[in-house]
Amino acid sequence: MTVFGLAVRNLQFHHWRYLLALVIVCLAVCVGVASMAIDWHGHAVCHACLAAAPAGEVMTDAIGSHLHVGFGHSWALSTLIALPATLLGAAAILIALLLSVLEHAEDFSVLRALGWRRRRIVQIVAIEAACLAIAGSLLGLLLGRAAIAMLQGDPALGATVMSPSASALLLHGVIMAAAIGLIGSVYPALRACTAHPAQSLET
Amino acid sequence: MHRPPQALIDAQGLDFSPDGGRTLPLRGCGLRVDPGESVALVGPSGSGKSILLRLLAALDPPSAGQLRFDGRPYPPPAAAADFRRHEIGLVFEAYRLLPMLTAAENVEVAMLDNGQPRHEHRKRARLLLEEVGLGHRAGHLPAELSGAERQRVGIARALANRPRLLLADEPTGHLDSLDARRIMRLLTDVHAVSGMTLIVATHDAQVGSQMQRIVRMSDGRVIDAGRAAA
Ligand SMILES: Nc1ncnc2c1ncn2[C@@H]1O[C@H](COP(=O)(O)OP(=O)(O)OP(=O)(O)O)[C@@H](O)[C@H]1O
Ligand SMILES: [Mg+2]
Repeated sequence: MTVFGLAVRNLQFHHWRYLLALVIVCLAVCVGVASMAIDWHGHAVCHACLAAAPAGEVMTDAIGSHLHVGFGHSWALSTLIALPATLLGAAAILIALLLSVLEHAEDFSVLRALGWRRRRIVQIVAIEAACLAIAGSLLGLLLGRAAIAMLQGDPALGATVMSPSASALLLHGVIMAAAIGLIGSVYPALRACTAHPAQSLET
Repeated sequence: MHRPPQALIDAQGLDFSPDGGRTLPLRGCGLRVDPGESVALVGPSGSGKSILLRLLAALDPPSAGQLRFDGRPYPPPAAAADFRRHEIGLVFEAYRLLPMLTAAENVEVAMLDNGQPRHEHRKRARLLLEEVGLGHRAGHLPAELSGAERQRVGIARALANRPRLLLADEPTGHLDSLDARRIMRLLTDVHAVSGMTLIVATHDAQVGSQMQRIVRMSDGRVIDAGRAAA
């Protein structure tokens, strides 16, 4: 039994909980990635500032109700969407991991009593978080690409949806995955490794 | 001149408070255990048996007193995990198996970082499960095992790293009398074969009588070190 093996067993043991977290991470990354493809500088205009619209191209905005054309850069507006999505994904992982860590506090104390170092306990939680963040983000990335392709096919929106390069999408996905995994796992890992080994002897 | 063998456990004047000094369940506790001995720790509930085991297992350092293992002081907290892994086997009243792991994996889990390759871990886990009579249950989860079977897995796990000191806290506390007798037979057999030192904390006079020596505790100290006492 390796640390990785134990993490996988734990993921299997609580698969419904972790599947739910995975789905949320996937959707969060999908939204974050898709937000990259929206051409904020282009033609989508908020109804409040019709004046900014090129003649004949006034359209209601599909994303928010009040996004000003030419306001800020596209990365800033993408971040505006990707950031809460990232936090949502991180929260999903955090809750799922924390539930397990609290539920298994006794098991961690047993492992410590058997001679596991704290570092090993941290690794279990880190591996679980990494599995969820990586798998969720990968699925989210694929889903995001599909979503972009779909939006481009829509004649009403097509002009406002760009085609970001594969590497740009990948970078976006990797950054989101790392942030989701990190933010979601630090506190549960700390909780897990502070389990006192003597707790295992208490009834 | 006759020299007594080096004690495996030499505890003198141990104080310990589990709650940061508000209570002192262990005060001035002393105990000497020779290598290879089997010892029962008996005493009324609350007399400090579990607390003493907690210190002997290096789960906590004593707040005062001297504690030596094979002539050397117990390790500082930073090195306690490595010490436990190499020297201590622990058997719990409530078994404390990990619910997501099979019987074999529960034994293997104790061998992490013991310096042997993984295939050795697997081989040894199978072997130990066979020795405790559970070879046919290796792939079962704890939830699929009876209490006595779980305790057998617990004993196999405690033996995984060939510890010099095997500590059991009420190992039969959750079992009926027939299973309790079988588990005690297993523990005494393991003790006889392996030559390791065995300390069992128990309420049960029947359990205590199967050890070579009975140490009585009361109010956080040893009041009777039993017949082998020097
Ligand atoms: N975590 C703790 N915080 C405060 N007091 C504790 C704690 N653990 C144990 N004690 C106290 O220490 C004393 C000794 O407890 P211990 O568990 O060692 O008794 P014991 O001899 O093992 O009893 P039992 O036979 O019931 O298991 C008890 O009075 C208990 O209330
Ligand atoms: Mg006790």
